[in-house]
Amino acid sequence: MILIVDDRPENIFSLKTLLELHGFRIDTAESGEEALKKVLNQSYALIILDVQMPGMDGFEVADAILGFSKAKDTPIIFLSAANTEKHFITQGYTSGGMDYVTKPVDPDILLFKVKTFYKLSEQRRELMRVQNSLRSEIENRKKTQEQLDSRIEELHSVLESLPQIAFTIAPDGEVEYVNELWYKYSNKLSVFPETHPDDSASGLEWQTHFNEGIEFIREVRIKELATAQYRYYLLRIIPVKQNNQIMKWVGTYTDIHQHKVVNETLEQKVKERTKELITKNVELENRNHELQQFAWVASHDLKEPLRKIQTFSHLLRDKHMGGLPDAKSYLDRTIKSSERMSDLINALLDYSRLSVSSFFEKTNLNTVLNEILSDLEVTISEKHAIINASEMPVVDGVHSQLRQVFQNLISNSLKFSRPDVFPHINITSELVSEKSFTSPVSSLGEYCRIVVSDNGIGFDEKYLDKVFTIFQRLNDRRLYEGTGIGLAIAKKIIEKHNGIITAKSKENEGASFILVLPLHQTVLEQHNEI
Amino acid sequence: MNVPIRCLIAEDDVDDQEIFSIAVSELEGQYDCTYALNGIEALERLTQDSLLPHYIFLDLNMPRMNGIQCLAEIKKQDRLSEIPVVIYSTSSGQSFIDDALRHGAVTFITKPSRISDLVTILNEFFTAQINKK
Repeated sequence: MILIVDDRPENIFSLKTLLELHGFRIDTAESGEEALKKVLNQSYALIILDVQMPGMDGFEVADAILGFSKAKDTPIIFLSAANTEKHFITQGYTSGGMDYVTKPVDPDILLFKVKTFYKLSEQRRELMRVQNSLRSEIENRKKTQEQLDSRIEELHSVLESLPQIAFTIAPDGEVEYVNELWYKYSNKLSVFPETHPDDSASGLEWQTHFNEGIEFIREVRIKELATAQYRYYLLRIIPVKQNNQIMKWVGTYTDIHQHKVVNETLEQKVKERTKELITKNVELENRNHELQQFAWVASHDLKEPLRKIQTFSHLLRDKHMGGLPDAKSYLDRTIKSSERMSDLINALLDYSRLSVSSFFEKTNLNTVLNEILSDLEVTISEKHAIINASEMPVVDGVHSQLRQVFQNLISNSLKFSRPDVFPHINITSELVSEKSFTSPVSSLGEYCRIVVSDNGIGFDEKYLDKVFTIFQRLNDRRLYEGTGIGLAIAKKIIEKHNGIITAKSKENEGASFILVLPLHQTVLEQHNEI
Repeated sequence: MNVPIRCLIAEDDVDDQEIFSIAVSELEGQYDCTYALNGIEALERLTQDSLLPHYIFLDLNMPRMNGIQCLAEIKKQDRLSEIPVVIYSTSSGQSFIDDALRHGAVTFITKPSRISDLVTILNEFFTAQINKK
């Protein structure tokens, strides 16, 4: 936009037309004051100023414009009468105007000048624009740099505050920053703490990781300068990436000395303990084996003289005691005692044999019961006993051992019957969900609860513990024969099957023996116990 | 004319020897028993003394050479291998019984605690043996 200032409208008109023809946009003012007003509101590429104007002349306007910062660089072409004095011309140039055109205006020359000034003005504007954008770019860069600097400072203060030795490495591999703790292990920023000779491979390993840009983690021992002692540290150097480029590496040494030492001590202790345990285990197994052998040999060797006692006692009684009733009676009791001793030795042998491990197999308890009922047939019919058994499950067990249990329980029930009452024995079984005597019934249960109950003499429940203890008898041996081992054996067997056994009873009101057995065994070999 | 039945009994325990002879004395028929104290002595009686018994009874647990070893040796000799050998012992374990039978014993007798029981067992044995012939 070009501003033409002239007090004569006809001059404006002609200039305006001329310039508009050449593609310039024109604004006009007919006085200095009007011109100033316009300049205030608008920026112009060029001002064509008539010098001779009433009121403010061209120079005064130019001065005013100069003083106005926004417009002070606007080029001005003065239009003046041909015969203007030279001092006016200089005044014109010093006022900031750029050029002079004398009237009458040569349109070509004026055009030239306008075009040139226009171009100049445009160029200047362009320059200004570039300058401004450069300036704001610099501002931005400065701001970004400041932010970066403050970030780095933050990083450093964080690293400083860490209890670890912290450092950063530039993308070129040089250490660029270390925190205070570094100097406890190295005198120079550029020199890494000295590592233990056994950890010397770590240097090469770091190189490889660095070259491949991957995280480096390793336990190392580094020498503390003050004490010349090596301490365990965990070294971690992690790449920090931005747009997939590694900007820097951040590294830490974390003190793990305490942990390491404690750990090593622990490991040592564990090793020792394990060795001890293994030794103890071997000892135990040996002792067990010895006990086994002892029990077998003892009972075997005890049986020998016992047999002789029995043989010769029988001989004596049968052949030679005819006329000596007293002597015969003494011998009878001798023979009875030796028979009892034989039973005891056999029972002891059975009990000791239980320490041997056996393997679990599918055992049908119905079959077991049938075998026992068949074995005890004579006693059952002698005592007119009635035995009811419900359907029994198949369990993982040792057939002979489980048979022993039921045999002991049933023969006990037969033995401890009330003198005037036919023994009545009930054997029931149900599936339960937990290994407990009171667990609810569950068709999907993993355990079976079997109850062997009778209507015999029962016992006072306060002696419950004694009942299952070896050789603890509650009854007079003269009235009820027995070794006192039967229930102890039964309990041991049930426990070896990972089950539980108990009894409920009231004196003279019979007894119920309750056992809970798992249907399936997870370990196929029975657990050995002393 | 009934030839007495000759038996060789290898038994290290003198009491058991006596028990055996008492039992034999209760049997029907004539028995002629020779006793050896262990396997080696038994073999000596069989080979050096040319003793040819009708039956041989061997106790299992004897010092120097036990019943099974003696049995094996007997079976090696042609002139002795046909003689029925009985293993006679306090043990009653199935493994012992199987072992004895495997080595060629005709039967295994567990020593009972009553002489009368032994008499019964021996009667059954001899009767069965005679019926076999």
